[in-house]
Amino acid sequence: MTTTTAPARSRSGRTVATVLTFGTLAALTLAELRVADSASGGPGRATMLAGLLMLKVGLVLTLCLRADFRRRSASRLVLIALVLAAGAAAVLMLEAAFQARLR
Amino acid sequence: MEQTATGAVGAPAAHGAAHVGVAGMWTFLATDAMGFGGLFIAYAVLRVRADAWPDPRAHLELGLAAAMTLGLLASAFTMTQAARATEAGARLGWLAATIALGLAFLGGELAEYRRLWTAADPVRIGSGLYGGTFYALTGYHGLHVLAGVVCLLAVALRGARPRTVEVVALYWHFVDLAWMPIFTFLYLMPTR
Repeated sequence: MTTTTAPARSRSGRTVATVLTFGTLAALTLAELRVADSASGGPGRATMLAGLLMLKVGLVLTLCLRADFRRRSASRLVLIALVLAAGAAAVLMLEAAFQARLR
Repeated sequence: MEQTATGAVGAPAAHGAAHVGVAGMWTFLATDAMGFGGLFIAYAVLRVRADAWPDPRAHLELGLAAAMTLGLLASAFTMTQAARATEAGARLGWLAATIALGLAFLGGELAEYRRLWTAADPVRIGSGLYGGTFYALTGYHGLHVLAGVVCLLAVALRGARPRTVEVVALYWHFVDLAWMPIFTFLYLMPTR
């Protein structure tokens, strides 16, 4: 009895986890839209948007691409490249928003 | 090739082929991430150096972009389900849903291009840095979505073998991932 129900329970648990993951991603996207609509200043909004973006990217990297679960050096290098590219882009965009505000 | 190895040598060879497929896809994604990274850096530098940069809301349709984003997220969900499905029928069903959502995303992108192109104050690829960078980034990503849809179709037509679906799922999640900064920076990031 236990052997037949355990895999089904495991599958069901994974489905719930997946639904929760994508529900969180959708909620973060809606939060981005609310931040973009908010009345706070440009740099504040830019920082919040960058933070929400980092959360979304982190969730996809960890839970969809499962980058942290693959114990291979090549995958870790790729993960570092992805994080660096996203981080550099975020920093440059924050600077862009700041510079644009100065003009 | 993979089928021959799987059939002739057995499980260890099949496992090896799957490992090569996943490692190969990760290597490809690494180079592709550099491509997207270069475009983002170019976009940021041009935006900083530009004398004036229009507010995204002045030209872009935020509601459509948000719907496209949610659709792409939904396609990542269906892709995950396809990769986890144990039955071939369910796998094909989830793949079909992913293909449909990918096509819907491309349809939304084309509708956005058409609207921008024919607007009273049009944004075209040759109309300054703003238009050029917008079409470069969204077009590059759109081509990735198109390639993903073609790959998914090919995988579905060839029987949607679990290992192949797993490798294509990596690519699809990357395409989903690449859209996130595009949505944030091009559609939401305030000018001031």
